[in-house]
Amino acid sequence: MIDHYYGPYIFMPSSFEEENEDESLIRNKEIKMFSFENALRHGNSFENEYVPYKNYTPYLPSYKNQKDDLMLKIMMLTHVGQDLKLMLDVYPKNIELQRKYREVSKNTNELVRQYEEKYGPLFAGNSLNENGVFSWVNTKSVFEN
Amino acid sequence: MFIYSKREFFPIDIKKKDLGLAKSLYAQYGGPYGELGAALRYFAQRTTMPDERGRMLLTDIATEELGHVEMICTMIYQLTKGATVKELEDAGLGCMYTVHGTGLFPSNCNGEPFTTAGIGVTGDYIADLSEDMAAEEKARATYEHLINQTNDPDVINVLLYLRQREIIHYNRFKDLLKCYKSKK
Repeated sequence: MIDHYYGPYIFMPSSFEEENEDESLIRNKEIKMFSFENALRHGNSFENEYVPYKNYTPYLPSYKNQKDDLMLKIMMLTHVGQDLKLMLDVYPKNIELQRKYREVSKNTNELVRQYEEKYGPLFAGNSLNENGVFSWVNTKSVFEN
Repeated sequence: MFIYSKREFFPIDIKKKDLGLAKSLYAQYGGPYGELGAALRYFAQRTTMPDERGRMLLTDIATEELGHVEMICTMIYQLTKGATVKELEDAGLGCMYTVHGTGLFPSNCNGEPFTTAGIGVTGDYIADLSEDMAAEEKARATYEHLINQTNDPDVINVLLYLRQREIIHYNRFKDLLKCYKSKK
């Protein structure tokens, strides 16, 4: 039962857990998504939800070095994963979204693993001993360019 | 609990100093519709959501907003990097420097300390989700004002990204509210 989570002045019928028409619709419909690159560029993974501002065209940097390029790919996957997660929070019964989210999460973890192996930890717990120094403090903070 | 990852949502590499814009950007750091307020608003509203969908949506968006606080701080840091005291004074940041040096004190663009006074927490999920939708729209409008205040493509590109996130969040809050309302 969910009743104790809110005040007694809000009436919630017992059918709350049932799926309504809107949810059923989104559970079954195809959601049109941008490519990973375009999702990050636009700040929005869902093509039908993108709202441009004036005539601005957002862009992504093109990196020549492998480190920044790999981080950009991690950003792309993380971004799409975040959008899928938020959508799934609202529509948790959408099987296709669940499948996509699992796939994106798995691929993100793999790229993070590759990045950490080559360029240092993104999570403190994955730090190594680098010449006697805790490698978490051997890489730049995000605000340093 | 939270686990910090040493990376950002979107690349930020601002090369040109712009102290005036840095001052304006404080609006989205500690201002009334800023990222810090957004994160705290959603965290504070979580416990009175009627089901786990609402609790998780607010948690996941609040967490993203904390990442946006970091992005705004990165932008202010890079826009002010290497500024002289005279330059800070000329940009209207003299008093900020007197009190906070070059530290990023959570405040609005007038230097007034961050306050939770503008955050609505009613304990009523319909009212709170409606407030959240309005908050996202106000943040979107603020980002558009900031975009109008600069010509620097390095800055505009990040602002466009952050503006679009407000649109996504608005849509998810709207979807959830619609689901909840249809079941009342």
